[in-house]
Amino acid sequence: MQAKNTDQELVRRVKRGDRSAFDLLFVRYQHKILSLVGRFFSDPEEIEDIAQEAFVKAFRALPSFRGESAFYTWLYRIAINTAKNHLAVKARRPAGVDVDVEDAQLLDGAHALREGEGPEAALARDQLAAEIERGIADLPDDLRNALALREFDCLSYEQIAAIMECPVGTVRSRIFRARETIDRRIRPLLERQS
Amino acid sequence: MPEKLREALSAAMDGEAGQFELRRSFDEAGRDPRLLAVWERYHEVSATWRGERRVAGRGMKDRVWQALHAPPPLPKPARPWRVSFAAVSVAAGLTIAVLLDPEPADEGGEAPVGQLAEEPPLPAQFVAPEASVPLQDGTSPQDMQRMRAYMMHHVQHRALHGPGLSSFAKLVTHVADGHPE
Repeated sequence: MQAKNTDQELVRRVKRGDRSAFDLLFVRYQHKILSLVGRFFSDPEEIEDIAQEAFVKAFRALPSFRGESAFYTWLYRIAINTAKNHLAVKARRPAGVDVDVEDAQLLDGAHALREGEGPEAALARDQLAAEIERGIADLPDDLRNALALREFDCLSYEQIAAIMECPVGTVRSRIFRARETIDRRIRPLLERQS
Repeated sequence: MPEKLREALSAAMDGEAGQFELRRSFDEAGRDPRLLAVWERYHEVSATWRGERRVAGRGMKDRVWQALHAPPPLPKPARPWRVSFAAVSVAAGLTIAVLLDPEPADEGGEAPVGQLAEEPPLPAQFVAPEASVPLQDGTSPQDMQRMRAYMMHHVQHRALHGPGLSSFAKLVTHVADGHPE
């Protein structure tokens, strides 16, 4: 995976104080970190607070990040430590919950958060999920397969090209077109929700 | 919003963009908020599809940015400089008044600070009126005169060359010299 290039470039820009790079980097990991913290806590507000604290810690410590490890590994570790600290303070750590960075990556997306979610947020999320599912279902096979191999199996474009027996440029184009098709469907919905 | 830039963002999302197009697309995203919105929606789709999108986290980005750029908490407030200056001035004035005035305070011999400032500078060999009665601890009047002269010399030296409390004394001396600061 070459995700490191994207992160390195963004981190370099954020270190320079580039606000738009901060936005791009934050958006890139926002859902992953919220999902990660959601494994420790059930209250959405608490999850947001802890995720926010983790991001603040990470971005404050960014000048000391030398890029020896992948940015997301470093960020995950900060988020997990922040969540664990909160659990320790509250002394209500559930038995058997001991997630380290590797476990967290494996478990990513394994459990859905339902408890404590407001009805409006739940409805908005369900509507979006349903629209995305419809969008994916309506995609031509070659676009859907390329995107699924990328999103679910985290394969590189080269690996997908080998599987689909097509050039890397075609894979890139298929994935882009798949995203664009879904984007056109969900844009009005997201605009209404926001 | 050129399609090529959106495609570059899609590739950047997967870590598959070349260095040049990575930089170009990020530069453009900094200029065009619509590109940032595209990036945001691509990630929404990805997170929803993977089951990561559980909490909206609306406004969190701005809150984090604000937290990062908020001014640091103020230290414990120091004493207002006016209070400090007034206290130092009073202390310095009292010190000088005591040193200059040979009479006991209860005899009404204390000169106000303002008056001191108008008086001519005192010579270093200032001699206080002779005490007629030896002190109880056996100190002779001559010893007391020498001590007062030494103290006056010291105060004047500090007023002209020293920091801190002497600033007031320096001011007094200069005003008395006819050279107000």
